[in-house]
Parts: sequence; structure tokens; C-alpha cells
Amino acid sequence: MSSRVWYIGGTDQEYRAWVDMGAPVARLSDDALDETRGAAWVIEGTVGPLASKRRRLQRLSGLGYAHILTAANTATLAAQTRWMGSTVRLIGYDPLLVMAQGSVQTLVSSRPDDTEGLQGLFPGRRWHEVADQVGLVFSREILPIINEAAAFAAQGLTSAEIDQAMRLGLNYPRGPFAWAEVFGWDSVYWGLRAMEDMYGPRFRPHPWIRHQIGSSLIEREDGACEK
Amino acid sequence: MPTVIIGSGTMGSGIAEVIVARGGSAVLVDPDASARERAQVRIAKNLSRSFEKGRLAERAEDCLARLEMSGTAPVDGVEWVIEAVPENVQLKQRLFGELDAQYPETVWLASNTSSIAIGRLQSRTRHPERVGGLHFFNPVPRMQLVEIIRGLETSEDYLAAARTLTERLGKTSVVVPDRPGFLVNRVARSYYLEALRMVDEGEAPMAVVDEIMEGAGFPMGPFRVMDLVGVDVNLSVTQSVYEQTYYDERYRPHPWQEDLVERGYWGRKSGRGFYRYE
Repeated sequence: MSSRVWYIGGTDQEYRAWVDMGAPVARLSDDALDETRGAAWVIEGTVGPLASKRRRLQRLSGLGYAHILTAANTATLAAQTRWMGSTVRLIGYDPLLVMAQGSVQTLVSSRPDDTEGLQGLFPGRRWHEVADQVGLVFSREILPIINEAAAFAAQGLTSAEIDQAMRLGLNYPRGPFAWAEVFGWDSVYWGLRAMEDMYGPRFRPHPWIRHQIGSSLIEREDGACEK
Repeated sequence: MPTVIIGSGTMGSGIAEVIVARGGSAVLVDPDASARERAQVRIAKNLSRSFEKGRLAERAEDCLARLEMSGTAPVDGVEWVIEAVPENVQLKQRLFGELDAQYPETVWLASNTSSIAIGRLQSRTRHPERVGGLHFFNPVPRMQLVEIIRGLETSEDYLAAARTLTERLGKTSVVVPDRPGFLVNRVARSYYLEALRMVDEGEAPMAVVDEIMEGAGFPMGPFRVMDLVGVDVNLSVTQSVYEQTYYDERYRPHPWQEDLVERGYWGRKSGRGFYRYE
């Protein structure tokens, strides 16, 4: 097995964040998945409709990986396990917390030695196991802040004003728009959509955010995303 | 011209402290003599500490010479009146009616409210265009931001004067609409509410939620912030936003907060909140 960690399906921002976390992570397109056969660690970070993620995970299920670290902020690990079958060892993580470069990372796992494995792979980070719920902890905290801030942008305040107010008023490390730039607006939108689906309309993405990622965005039945 | 500040609690005394520390003069008004005395002691102590630490060029005594403590608000020679009385809408509405009658229309009237709509205060005045919000953050001497709140009828001249005042105080201002919770408190509500819901649902223990958020760069996790500002204060702001948004579920207070407040577990100030501090 190769010691390399393969990153599949996510965003440039997230890929760079994994690299910054110090593990030998390499990015791979879907066309080259055969190269990853039998890998010890694969990170799956699809951003978009769940159908896209499900389709990609199903493709990965026959490649004999030892571990798949899968973004679990938009779909529970239980759901992903059902999609893939129980023979594949899945560990859930929060991609937004990775992009935030949090010193404490969250994981969802059914095996105690997974924490140890991740700590070995990404030295300098502590991994806390949390319950298998959409949003995990960080996404559920940060995305509604961005969503609220979007309402003020829609009312004419500039992103710079809003960011400055949140930093100076509450000592936030970044303003909501600076966070959104770190994550990418697609990740913001789909993270909110998943939580809206799970917890209700309080997470509905503000139209201003929808506008950021393409005002005519339509989800097709096959799960692809049109802009 | 002195700035009149009505209410000598934490916010009122903090605003007065900043004004005199920046070379201005202030009259801090409170009908309660013992409250005035406590405020004066607090301001003197803070100014002395700032001088000792080199944050203040002028001696505390010299700054304090520009501070007057009074039981009644002076009228003559005043440019600004800033209200910082407790967050009670009836109390503030009555006060603004009185201030509006008492002061010539050239005097700017500001509320330091953190959550009451400025429009509700303007509604009790004959000259609503000279009324707006000046929302300072606690602790006033250390927090850089002031939200200037534009009520429905607040004039552009008020906004310009408010910008000038906040600059004079060394603060950064942002003009925000008169929405429930204004900007900062509104945007921050979910930081507390989602944390409460997550812990309640068993997503993670509160210490872990705090640790995760602090690990991502937030100076304090949501539970530690609530304990610092006061569980009661946080609940009151949330209730105010919830009511003013006609019960939008995003801002629904959590029963856990109510439970702690009922028991007197108000945070650090009472020795116990979400955490214990004994």
C-alpha cells in the first residue's frame, strides 16, 4: 500500500488545506481512480448535491481502500455507509473545519483506533469524535453566521463593513465573508442546504448566497448541478 | 461641549470613561447617588490602570476633572445625549419623550440599546430625525466597534455627526439598519443557539464545542462567551430578537438558557453558568 493520501472530488481550497495540514496528500481526478486501488487512505470531499456524492462513493467502493475519510457535514456517515456497503471503512470529517485549519478536528467513526490513525497522519491536530449528525459542530456554527451576514449584504452593507463589524464587535478571527472565501461559496451553499434538509428552514440559504453561486442554479434529477 | 450620558451602569460609565480619556468632557447622569459613586470609583480605577500601563498619556486625575457626575441632565451647551439605561422598552421610550421635550432640536439623541428598535424610540419624539443608535460594545474602552443605527427617520446629518463623534473617541463605526439585534448581535445569535441545540441533541459535550471553535480561532467558544457576557443578558437579547422578528424560529431561545437564568446561574458574575467558577 502507498503511504500517499489521495484527495478526490472536493475543492481547490480544501485540497490546499489538507496539504497545509502536513500529510502527503495528492489530488486525483475521477478519470484516474484506478491509480488509487488499494490505497491506505483516500479523502473524499465532494461538494454538491448528495446524488453526486453517492455516485462517487459507489465508484470508490470496489477499489479496496483501507480507509475512506469522507466529508460528513452534508450527509451522515450512516447514510454514506448504506450507499457504499459495510465492507468499506468510512470515517467522517468536517471539510469546513479542515479549511479553517482548526487545531481540533472532528471525526465520526465507529472504531476507536481511527482517532489514533488520523493523529498519526496529521500531526499537530487533535481529533475529537462527535455524533453522526449533519453539520457536525463547526459547519453548524459557522454557516448560519454567514447566512445571516448575507441578509445584511442584500440590504446594501458591504462585505468589508460586515466583516469588520464582526471582528471588532466580537473579536471573531475572520468576518463571515472572509470565512466564506476560505470555504468557497459552493461549500457554503451546499452545507446550508444539507442542514436545511435535516433541521428545517432556519438553515435555508439566503437568496444572496444563491446568487453568489449562480442565480439560475438548478439541481437536475441526476444530481448534477447546472449554473 | 460636554456629552451627556444617561445611566451609570457598565455601558454608561464605559462610554464616559472613553470620552474623558480621549480629551472630551462628559456628564454622567444617574438619579441613584450610590450608583454614581460606584461608577466614579470604577472609572477612576480604570483610568489609573490605563495610565500606569502606558495606554493613557494623561493622568487619571486630569481626565477625571472633565467628568461631572450628576443626578439630573444639564441642558445648556450640550451637543450629544447618549442613553444607556437598562434594556426596557417602556423605560427608554419614556426617557426619549422627555429628552426630546427637554433638549433643543439641534441636540443629537442616541440610544446605546443593544436590541430595541430605534424606530420605537423615535415614535415617542417630535424630532425623530435627530434620534439614532450608538451601540457601543462591552467593555467599551477595549472594544473598537460602534454600530451607528439608522432608524426609519434618522437624518443623514445625524449619521455624519455620529461618525465624527465615534472618530473622536478613537472608535470604528459602521452604519447599520434598524433590524432586530442590529448587525453584530443578529449575526451572532446562531453562534449561541446552535451550540445549545447541538449539545442538547448530543452532538458533542459543551466543552468540546468550545474547544473546536477556539481551535478554529474564535477567542472563546459559545458557552464561555455566554458565561462571560451573562447567560441572562444573552437570553434577554435573544428573546428581544425573537419577539421583534415575530417569532422567527432561527432566534428561538433555548429552554436550557431559561433554566439557568431561573436558577441564578448567570455566568461568571454569579460564580456559575454553563461552567462553575467557584
